[in-house]
Amino acid sequence: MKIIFMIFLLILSLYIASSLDFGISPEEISLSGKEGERICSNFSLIGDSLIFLGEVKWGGENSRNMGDYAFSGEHYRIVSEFPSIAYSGKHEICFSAEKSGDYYGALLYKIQGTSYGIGTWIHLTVEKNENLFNSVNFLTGRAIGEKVSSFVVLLSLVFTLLVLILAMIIFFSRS
Amino acid sequence: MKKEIFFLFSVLICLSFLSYVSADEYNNLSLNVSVSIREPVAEVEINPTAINLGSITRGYATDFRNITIINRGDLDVKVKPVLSSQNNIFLNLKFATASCSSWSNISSWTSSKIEKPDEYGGETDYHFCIKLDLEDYDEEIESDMDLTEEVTFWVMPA
Repeated sequence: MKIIFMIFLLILSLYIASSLDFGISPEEISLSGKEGERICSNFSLIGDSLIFLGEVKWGGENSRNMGDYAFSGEHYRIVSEFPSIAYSGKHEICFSAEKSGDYYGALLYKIQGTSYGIGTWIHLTVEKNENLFNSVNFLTGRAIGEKVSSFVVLLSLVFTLLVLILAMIIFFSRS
Repeated sequence: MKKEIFFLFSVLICLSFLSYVSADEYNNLSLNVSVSIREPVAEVEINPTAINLGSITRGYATDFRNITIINRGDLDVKVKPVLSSQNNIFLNLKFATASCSSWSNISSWTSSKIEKPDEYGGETDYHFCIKLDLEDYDEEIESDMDLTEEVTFWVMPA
């Protein structure tokens, strides 16, 4: 009986070792945001007791041909944050792009110790960040560019005048 | 007397229950319907996990090996084999679909669309063949070599 059980166990383990079950979701990671912003989304990896080794590649156009995705994020000035080593489950992926535009990429996870990998497509839409432009303008151009209300100007002038009068009174009273 | 009161009281309670049941039956005609909607998943099972093509020399081709892909996800997928390096004997790897008749080089071959199962939770089988073809290989083979090259089969949503 023990021998039969052992043979059954051996056959079962051979079957497990000879095939591999893995997956990814969603079909496409679509994200949108503004220049310089950290834009995040989630994805899921499927595969019991598998170790996934990840990378992201970018291409110039919307394509479903892996050969069209040959560039790293540096080429398009995109910073990517994702788990380079991952296990089955839900994970977060974030991007930050310097320039506005539509970017197309592929998130690829190779399964450690096997000849297989799984991936999904990325579509990143980055819009111009007006706030970023304004905040830079605010920092660099306050002295020449900021519009100040007339009330504030008047208040400043009155305050300055009062200080001057006070200073003159003190000066003349001492002298 | 006490028994009779107790009996009557019990009958009243039973009747009150019956009236509640009938109210439920005739006045509340709505039915709760629940379902779990899941995000589509690209999921496959691949068999085998490694391929040994045996021995070969210039002017011949190895026997082909079969690779089976079972699409058990909810999306159509494609498989693309990619070599880890581009300058070696493995550039002569050839692939064909299930009939193993029309062979294409590794650099140009991508599987046809492996369609999602017809029914949710079902499976679609896809087979393709692989061989190393050195019939037109003209480089010098000076000594016996045991070569291993990493070919990664990438599964992507179609």
